Amino acid sequence: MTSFRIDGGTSINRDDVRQFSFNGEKLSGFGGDTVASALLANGKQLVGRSFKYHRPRGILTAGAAEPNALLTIGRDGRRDPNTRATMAELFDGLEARSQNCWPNVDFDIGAVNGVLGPILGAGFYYKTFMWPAAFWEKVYEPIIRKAAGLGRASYDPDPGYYEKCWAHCDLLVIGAGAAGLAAALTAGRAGARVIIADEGAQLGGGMRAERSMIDGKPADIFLGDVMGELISLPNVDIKSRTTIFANYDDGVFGGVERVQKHLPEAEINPNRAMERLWRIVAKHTILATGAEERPIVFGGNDRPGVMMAGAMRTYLNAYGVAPGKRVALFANNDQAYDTARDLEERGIEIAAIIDPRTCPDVGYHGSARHIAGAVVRDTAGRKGLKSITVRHDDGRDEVIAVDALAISGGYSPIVHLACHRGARPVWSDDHAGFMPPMDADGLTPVGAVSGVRGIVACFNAGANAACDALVGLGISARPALIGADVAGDHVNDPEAAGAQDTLPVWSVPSARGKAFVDFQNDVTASDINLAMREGYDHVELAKRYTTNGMATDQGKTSNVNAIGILAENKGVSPGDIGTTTFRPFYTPVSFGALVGASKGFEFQPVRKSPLHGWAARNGAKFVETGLWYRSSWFPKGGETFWRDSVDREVLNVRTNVGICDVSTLGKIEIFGADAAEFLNRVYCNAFLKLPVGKARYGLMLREDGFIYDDGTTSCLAENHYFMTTTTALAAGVLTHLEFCAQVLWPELDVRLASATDQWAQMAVAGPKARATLAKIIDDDLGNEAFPFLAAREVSLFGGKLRGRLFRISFSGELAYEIAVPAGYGSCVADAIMEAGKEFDIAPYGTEALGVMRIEKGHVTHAEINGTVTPADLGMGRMVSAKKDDFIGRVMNKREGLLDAARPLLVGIKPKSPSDRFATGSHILNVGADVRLENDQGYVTSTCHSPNLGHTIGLALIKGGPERYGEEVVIWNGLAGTHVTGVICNPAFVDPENEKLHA
Amino acid sequence: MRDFLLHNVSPFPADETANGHGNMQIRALRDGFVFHLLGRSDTDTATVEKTIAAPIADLGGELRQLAPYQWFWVGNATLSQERVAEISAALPSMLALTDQTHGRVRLVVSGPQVRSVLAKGAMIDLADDVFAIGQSVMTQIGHIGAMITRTGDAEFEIMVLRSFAESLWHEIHQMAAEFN
Repeated sequence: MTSFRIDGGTSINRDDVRQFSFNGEKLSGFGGDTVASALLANGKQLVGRSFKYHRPRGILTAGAAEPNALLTIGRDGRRDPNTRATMAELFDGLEARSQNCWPNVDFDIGAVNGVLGPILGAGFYYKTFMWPAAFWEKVYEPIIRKAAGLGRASYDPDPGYYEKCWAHCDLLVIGAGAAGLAAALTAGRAGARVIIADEGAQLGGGMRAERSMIDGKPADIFLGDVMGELISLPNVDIKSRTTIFANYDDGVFGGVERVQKHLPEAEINPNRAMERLWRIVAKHTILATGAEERPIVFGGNDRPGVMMAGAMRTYLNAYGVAPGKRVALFANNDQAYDTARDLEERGIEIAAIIDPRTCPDVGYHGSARHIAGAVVRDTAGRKGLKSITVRHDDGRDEVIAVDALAISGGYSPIVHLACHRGARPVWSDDHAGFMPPMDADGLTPVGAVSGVRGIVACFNAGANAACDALVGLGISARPALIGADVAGDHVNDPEAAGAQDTLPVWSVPSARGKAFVDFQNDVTASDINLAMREGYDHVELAKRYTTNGMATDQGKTSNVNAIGILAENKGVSPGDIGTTTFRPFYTPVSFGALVGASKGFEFQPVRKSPLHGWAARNGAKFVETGLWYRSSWFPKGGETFWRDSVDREVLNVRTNVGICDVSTLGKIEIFGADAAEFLNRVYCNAFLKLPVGKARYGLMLREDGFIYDDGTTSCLAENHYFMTTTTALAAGVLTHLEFCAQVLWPELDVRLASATDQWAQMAVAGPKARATLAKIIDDDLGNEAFPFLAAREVSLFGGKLRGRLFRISFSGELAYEIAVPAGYGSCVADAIMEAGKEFDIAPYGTEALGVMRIEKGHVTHAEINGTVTPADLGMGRMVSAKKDDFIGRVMNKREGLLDAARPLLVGIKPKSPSDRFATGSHILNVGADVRLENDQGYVTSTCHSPNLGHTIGLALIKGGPERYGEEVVIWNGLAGTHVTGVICNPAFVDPENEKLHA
Repeated sequence: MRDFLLHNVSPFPADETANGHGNMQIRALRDGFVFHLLGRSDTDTATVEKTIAAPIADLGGELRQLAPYQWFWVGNATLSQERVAEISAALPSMLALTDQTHGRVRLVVSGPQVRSVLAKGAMIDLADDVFAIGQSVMTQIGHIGAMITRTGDAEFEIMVLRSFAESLWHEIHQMAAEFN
């Protein structure tokens, strides 16, 4: 035990000794300690260096607002930078390191900035690094970023699992101090669904530092009883270690639960989240977040050893840690005197109580020297506090030797969550603080956040607020903990009644040396004054000019003092200055929690075709297309280069027969008496008269006249159609159709169902396709019975199975697509492979599919890129001139879309077969300079054609088919190549369509 | 090829008992049928129930509304394609039926922690007194669209597009892992 660890400490377990290291030094603490309390117990007052001046800094608070004691905890992938020592629980083997210091926290080279202080004031960077402008990105910014800054993120992946959850409740209670516990107990007893969340490892909030007797029991025993009852109620969900960080619309709150961050590596359950991100949906919310004690702005107020009075009391009572051997208190309010009382009871010498108020009557009857009407103007001590300089009301200075100073400048209600949705807090002179906007939109602030002080008053406020909220939800409740008997609750102390309340001291006028407003960003009172003098006196401007209130603590201890200084200097009320905007997050949230489980393999779900397993068995290489995995080629017999496989697959289809998985194409079932009329309106070509048993290629336009999607639609029966879409637009087309059906033409009887996942669909293509399929399909597949574009249900395997057969072709070969219920897909594919064996059938993937469609001059979304019309693709005649109306009809006739100079679809090939060119290359006339105005168009698709033995491409070129045979230059600006090409018919293979009808 | 052996392959991984030893059970449903019923914009649930009264009495199953004028009729009987065609043909024109037995697949998650497991993916309040047995909702589990139906005290059925089945299976196991 160290000399700073004294008796008591309601939060720690002295039987549970825990070893940890701080900057490599081996130290020990107890279970229940925070890293901060353990460091203090080990006499470590100096824990870090400040952001700009690298000044020695200690631990200021005992909670979420800590601006100074930011440590890097853990190692490798589990390294967490910027962890507040005041929030991190001590575990065995914990490794903590100071940040922003080099070579170490005791001897920090960067402290030279402290000497340069006078020129490093607000706006220094803005003023200094203005020229030359080119230096900013390359020279200044890297240097500044290296010098300033907080902890560094680990480059190793975090091995921990994270997740995101939803929760629902009648009443969400945020904060488990006196008010929150009374509210939760009230609602819990009434049977309401309650969630009570608190950022602490143990519930109790401010009560954990309390030494009062409640109903005849010590406060911690009383707290234990309340906890016991809450735990026993099945309708109460207690979320400790959970920070509610955001208030979103409709009663949804964001929270982060630190599930396993407090455990040593060996105890971490890999199947349990390290942290959970909660989205809590609450019917009503009790905001019992308490109040943040404000520092006082005076010279040297950042020296290690200066601590918030409430924090000092917490370390003393909850952790059994003495702040020092000789302590002073500098406070402007009554509540801070509790700290003096408790210190004295524990036998710690109080050198003086300095109170700027002239006649404080606080019911303090201790023996400490009381100096009224005085302030602390300066402190001394190199890495820890040695003495303070007190300025008496008569102007006399007195140096008092102390090794710790408790400060308290009043209380700022923690109003953040009440203000996240835009409401502004309201200044109250009575409370010397910004109060939450009251009872806004299902949110009731109670307890210290609404200015209530004292345990009894907070119990009452919490319980009554819960009753009122539950009435609104139709639940009747009786207030719990009302009328508790609390001894030593100074608000109920009659002697304290009528005492002068908090006297705001925004900054000590006689301060000597740097008087810090924002500890984390090293913003001093003189910086705020400078900002004002330079015209940045609006609170939002002052924040950005000085950086006051920025970074990880977001000004929890500094904002109100900065506002106070601005107000004082302008001679107005802090209410007239107002606050900066409150936004999520209340405290920093790890990226791990925000990402949840969606990382690595789980980054996004995978969609697999019903033929995925069949393709894998046949050796497919897969490619991700959106969420889908599609088989792209099937290496065979020692093929190592993808194009070897693709060329073979293409030639095999053109010569024999191949099978390809096309299950991922979007499929939509369309029903209804008006289905034909509906299709006629969504496609630009005619569909009204499509006979049963026939498929038709359709072009869907957007309202602006450009092509949206293409595909085939078949009429399977009267009032029943089956549409296919491209894979990528399956969801988009269905949404578009639903919009048309529900919004544009609600009078039509048309009903749409996605059927993509119901069917395993295979393209069987090649001269031997019919012979292959005839072996498994019972129906006659001859040209008479099943001509090109036939589409109907067929029987397979002698009536064992029914499927849908479509005679359509993307490859340009004699081809069919057969669809069977998905579960039978892989068996049917096996059967087709077996049937086609004698014809040398081979599977082919999307790469071969792509080659064959380019060889045939068929378009995909490489051509349908949002800028093309049917006429651009040579399909202008498909656009019906007879139909009354269809989507895109009017805009398709715009002047610009009819312009004769529009690029039109052509084929393109190299003049010399050995030359290659790439998609995206631009077309120039021979001899023309590379300039935008000489641009003739661009290449939309390219491939190596194994049938022709050279590169071929599709292109959109001005003049289009009129230029067949013309030589042009194919310019690739990225590769810096010029290739002579020849414009040609896009149908490189079978331009007469003889194969289709074979 | 008439003697070719056909079987219906489940999209769920075969290893379905892997997590059956703990508190949570995750079980794929490999039989049954899912019909997607599409009504006109004047069709209500009562009318649909009346319309399919005879076949539902025969085949069993229940109606789950997935959208305005759209329902899934989900049952555990195994039906031939011919029987489905008969049922479909017998419906009046105000109600269309499309067989989605292969397109929408189902799994059952059960166990005392089932609500905590599903809360990791679904934003719906599944509390005992809020989400009754038999109730269904179209929602999402993580990034995957799914229909959740409460089928018992601590048992929920999840129906998902077939192509997502493997991902969902994996995710639910991951979500349940801490309870096993």
